[in-house]
Amino acid sequence: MKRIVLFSVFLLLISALNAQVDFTASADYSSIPSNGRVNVTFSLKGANAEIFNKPTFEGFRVVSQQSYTGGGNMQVIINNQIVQNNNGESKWIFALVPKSTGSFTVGPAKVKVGGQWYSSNTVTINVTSGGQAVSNGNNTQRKQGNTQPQQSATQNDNNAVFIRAIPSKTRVYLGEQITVSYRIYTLYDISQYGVDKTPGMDGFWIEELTDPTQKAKTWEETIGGKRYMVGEFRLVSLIAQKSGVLTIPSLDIEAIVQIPDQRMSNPFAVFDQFFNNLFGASNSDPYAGFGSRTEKRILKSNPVEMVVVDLPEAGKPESFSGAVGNFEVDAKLDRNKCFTGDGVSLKITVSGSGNLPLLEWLEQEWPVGFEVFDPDITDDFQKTATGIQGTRTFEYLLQPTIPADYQIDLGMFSYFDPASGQYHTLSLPEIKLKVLQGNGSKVSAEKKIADDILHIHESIPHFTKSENTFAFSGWYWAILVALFVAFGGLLFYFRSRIQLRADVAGFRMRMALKQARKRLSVAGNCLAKNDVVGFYSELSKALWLYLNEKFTIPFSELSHSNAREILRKSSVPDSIGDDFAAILEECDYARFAPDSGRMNMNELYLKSTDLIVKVQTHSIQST
Amino acid sequence: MKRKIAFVLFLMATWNVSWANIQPDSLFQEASNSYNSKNYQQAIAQYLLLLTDGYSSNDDVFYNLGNAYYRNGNVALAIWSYEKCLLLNGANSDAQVNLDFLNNSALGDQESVPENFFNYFWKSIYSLMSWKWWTISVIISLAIAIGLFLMFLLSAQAQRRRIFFVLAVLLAFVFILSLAQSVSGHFRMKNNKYAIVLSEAATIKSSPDTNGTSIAVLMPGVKVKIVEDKNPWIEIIAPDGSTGWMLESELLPLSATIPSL
Repeated sequence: MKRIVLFSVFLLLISALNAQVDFTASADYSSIPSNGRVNVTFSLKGANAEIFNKPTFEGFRVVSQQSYTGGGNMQVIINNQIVQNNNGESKWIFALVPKSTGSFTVGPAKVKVGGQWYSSNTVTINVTSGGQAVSNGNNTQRKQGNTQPQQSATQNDNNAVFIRAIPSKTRVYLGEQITVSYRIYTLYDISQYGVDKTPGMDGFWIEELTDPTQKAKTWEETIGGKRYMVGEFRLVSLIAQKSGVLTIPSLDIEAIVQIPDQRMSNPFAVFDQFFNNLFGASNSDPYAGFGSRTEKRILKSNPVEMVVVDLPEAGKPESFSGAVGNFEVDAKLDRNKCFTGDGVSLKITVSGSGNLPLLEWLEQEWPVGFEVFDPDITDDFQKTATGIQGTRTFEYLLQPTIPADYQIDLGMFSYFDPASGQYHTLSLPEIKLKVLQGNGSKVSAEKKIADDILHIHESIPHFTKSENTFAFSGWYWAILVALFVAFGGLLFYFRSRIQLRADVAGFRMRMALKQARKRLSVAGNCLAKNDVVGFYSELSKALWLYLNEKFTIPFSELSHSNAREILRKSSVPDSIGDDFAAILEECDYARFAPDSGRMNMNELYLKSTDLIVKVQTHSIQST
Repeated sequence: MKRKIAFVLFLMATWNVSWANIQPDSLFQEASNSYNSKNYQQAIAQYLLLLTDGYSSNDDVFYNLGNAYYRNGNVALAIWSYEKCLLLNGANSDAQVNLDFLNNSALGDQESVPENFFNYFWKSIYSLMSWKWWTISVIISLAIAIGLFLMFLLSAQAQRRRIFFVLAVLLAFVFILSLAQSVSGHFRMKNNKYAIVLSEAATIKSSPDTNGTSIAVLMPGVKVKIVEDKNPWIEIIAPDGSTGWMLESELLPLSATIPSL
């Protein structure tokens, strides 16, 4: 949870080279006193080092070393969010303390990148027995900021390093976007600092604008005759969410400040420093150079008061939905012709600067025949020094269900311009969409999903108490039983009539007909196969069997002579009986004297089928 | 029970009616008027009074009660009322529409184990007419079946005999179906195995114990199946098929005649 912002120790200006791999060495001082300290930085740009071999630092003692590996390996944490440092720069920083006086050459260091070794340039540092540190020529800014305050450092130390919060405006409208810049003013070197405590900003919506991958913006300012180094370490965009007087609380940062020692020129100062360190009188770290001491300081910014004014009621348009700033709107359909059931995307884009991240689109009235889904919101914001700018896109998915030519009125968009203090209303372009009947979507058009319950039933029903209901009551069961009893009674009453009507032999007769047809069908098969002998024998067999089963007469009593008699007894007309006998005779003839057939086989087959049906109907009518 | 009586007495006092002269027709009319004048609380009380007074065999009372509950903001009791209405009269399509609407809008798409085909088929047949008509159909179909059978026995012509026989068999089938439907409908009403979750965010426990692990949280209005009743815990099967235990007080069984008060 510790919020730490690490910035590069020294604001080195490293010349950018176009080379693919740029490996350079630099020192912050070209000449230092023997009790001074020099930082040598090896910087690798445009590649990631596999191996780094540090050089031998002849004549120096390494008091500290730090490395920043770029290319995504360095994590910078701001407001609990991990921000990758992707500037592709790796740094190895060595703090060196000279062992003796003279001119020493540091380097070269070597790195292995992509299997190849690269060497850095060398740096020459003069160690003098006394005097001042001379920084590298290209770093004049630092020199000035560094040397000047030395005279007044001890006298007015409180003003030497401080931070300030500077709002872009202190009187704002509700919803107006402002920026607050946090700047550090310093006369000394600051080796490292981190935000100790970010205040919770009640009543504001905050967005960090500082890009952690970029170096802090620095410049010089003269305050009270002193030239300060100014670094903007944090820039936030604020949008006031409630009206009244709001306070932006102070922000605390922890900085490690290198205070140049006044007694540096005094040869005995070394011992003072030594004893100071020994007894822990200062917070300086043991490796600190003898020329300066480091000190941890908690710096507090000034709290800022903001007056937030409500938006004026006068002239507030109906379509106003809280947009404050300066905007433009546009609406676009992805096509202007579609089929029912298709999805059409409608993009409403609001671009400009202001409270875009808080912008909501008003509920839209859609024409009947559309299913509209909640919009997807996509943002394209740029963080600029004046706040957030960009576009917010509301993408609606429209699903037409009824084919027609539509003209969709998207209404108006209104915003409040805090610069002029006036409302502006923009009208959105009218959207035209031609919807054709698609296949399979008729169902969805007709199947309207109920959006409310149906009304109550108001017609008064016939009320009966549940204990008085007829269903399953004693009476109910009594009636059921009574029905069965009545059925039994009627069966008994009509028993003789029923027996008379229900001819027991009827069933057998119908079975006989079926049997005969089956038999005849066997004969039919023979006919189809032109099996003459089989046909006649099967035919006669079927007819005899029919008589046997139909009139329940045993085979022993059946003969050619009495067949006619039997039929007559069953009140079958004589003509049918004659035909029957004729067919039986014909079969016998044919069986014993084939090829003499007087009757066609086919004709015979049809005739016998017809005959059985005739006998059948006559015999049933008679019973 | 005491509370129920107390509630009824309270209703009596409120509507100034006595035991003797509850006029169901005028009370129903009054309740509809209360509903139409958006006085849903009063409408609920009046419908409940009809139910407590024994007029609980009419599906329209439950249907209107469900509407009043929904308008009054109580989805779970509305669902219960519609379910009760559909038990009495499966052919009340308005109740089915409203129940589907509530299930869709209030409960959303729930994962549920599909009902087996036979149950679905059986219930679809049940919803051809109200339970009352199923019971009447038993008597009517039996009477006609007996008549047709006698006609079959007494007629002489084969053609007629055949027709009467087929019709008699058909009506006998209708009789058996009606009897089965009315008996199963009767038991569904009296010993219904389902209950509606009433309480907000009711948790299913793995065991009948307040310290048992919570398996799931059910929304009010969800229909659960009762497996076992171990007062005050009830073992239930949730619509998604998971089983667990719930407190009896969190549920309103469909076998209840009026919502517990």
